[in-house]
Amino acid sequence: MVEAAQQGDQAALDALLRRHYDRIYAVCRRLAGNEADALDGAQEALITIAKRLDRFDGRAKFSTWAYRVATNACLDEMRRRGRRPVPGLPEFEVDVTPLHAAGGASGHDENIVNQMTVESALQQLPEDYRSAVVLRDIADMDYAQIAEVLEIPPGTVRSRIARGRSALAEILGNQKLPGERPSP
Amino acid sequence: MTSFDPSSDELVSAYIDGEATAAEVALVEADPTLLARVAHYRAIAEVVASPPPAPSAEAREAAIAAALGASTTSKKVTSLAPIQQRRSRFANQKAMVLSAAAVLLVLFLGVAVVSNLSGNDSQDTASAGDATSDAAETDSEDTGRLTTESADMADDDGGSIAGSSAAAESGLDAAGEDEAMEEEAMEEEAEEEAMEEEPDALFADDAVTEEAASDTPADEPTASTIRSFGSLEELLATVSAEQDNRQQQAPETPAVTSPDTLAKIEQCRADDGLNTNSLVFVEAAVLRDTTANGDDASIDVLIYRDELLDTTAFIQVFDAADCSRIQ
Repeated sequence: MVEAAQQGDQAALDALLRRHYDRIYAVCRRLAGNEADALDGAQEALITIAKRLDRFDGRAKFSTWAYRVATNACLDEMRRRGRRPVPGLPEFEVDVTPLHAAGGASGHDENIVNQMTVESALQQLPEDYRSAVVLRDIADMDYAQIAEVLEIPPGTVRSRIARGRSALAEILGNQKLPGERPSP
Repeated sequence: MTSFDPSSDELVSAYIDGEATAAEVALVEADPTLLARVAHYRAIAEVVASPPPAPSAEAREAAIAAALGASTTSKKVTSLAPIQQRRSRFANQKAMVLSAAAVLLVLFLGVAVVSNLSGNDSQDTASAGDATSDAAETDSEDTGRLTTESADMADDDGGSIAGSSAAAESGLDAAGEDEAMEEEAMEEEAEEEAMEEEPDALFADDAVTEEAASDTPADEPTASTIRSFGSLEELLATVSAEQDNRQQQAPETPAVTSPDTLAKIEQCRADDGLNTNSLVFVEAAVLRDTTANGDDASIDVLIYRDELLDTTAFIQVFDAADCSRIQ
């Protein structure tokens, strides 16, 4: 399908874009934290993919290449709009505001973490951490693929995801999360 | 400040992602504290992974349509260049073309009438008749092409010059005209097919054509020399060169011939978004490289717009180094 789309087959390109749109939108939504930016970012990502499809050389998986394009497009879109949520925090000092302390999630509904809570928590992460976590958990990419997308070493991916999750745990206030099982 | 523990948190995170080594897995599974953290991190990962609200169907369709449009435009810009460029030239120079047709027709009829009236010397008459036949054959072929182009322009113009075109057609050999029209159609079809296969090569070819046309003296197409052109194409090429020189305001600028430059321009066009929604009606581009001028490293892209035959042109200048638009 990719090959057909590269050769100008519009139906193939249409199918290809449809197949990946939902995941691309989800990545943009988690990166941007709001619907408007996510829609613009996802559209820009699709346009970029369509325009640069001839540059895809097949060495990586198409989805990896597409997510790289999408991630860059969404981050660029956010930067253009000046909506970078948490600019440049020091590597080991993620200043977080626990949602329970901010009144975001009370102890009464600690089993319910709604979409706003997740997005709000993600937006408090530095962009580097957020990108790595989102690509892992939303795009379901392994560390090697994320390393390729973000153009960083796999070891850095590992540490960024760990730091991102640690920060999220802090932000979410160590509340009981859906699906969390009692520790053995 | 988080309670981030680089060693244990990386271990736990890698464990739930299936990225831990066998030794690391054993380490985690032997430590109840780490296992507790595994459960918490896994829950966080699941929350993050939960799908966000789906976008509306309209937004989805709009995004896909925009992407398909960008892709179509990109291909159009590349593949239709020579045809659209030629069409633009024809549209710009239709008056001159019709004048040429009229001159050719008058000359042909004039020679025929004079030959018929002067019947004193049968030998001379026979010779004149032969010459006229030869001329008629040549001219009808050329004028046939001319009529095709004129008719084409008339169609594009909503028939505004249809009357003139019909007048030019009178007295022409119908079979020759049909042949010429068919030839023209086949030529365009072949061009389109070739462009589908090798658009870059055609860009280069087109650029070379432009260069060759620019070499033709600008004062060549005058009334006294018009019959010296071997074909209508040659006439149009010369007129076109004049037009190009005026539009460019830099006739010394060489046309693009280097594949590297063409590739760079293609990259600039893609990076700059020349073929995005804002410029969907861009249908052709003539590429000229100003780096040879030595004073800057820029690439001029002359863009013909052929929207509803309201043909205009404008120039965008890119920095050759980073594709940023200069003007």
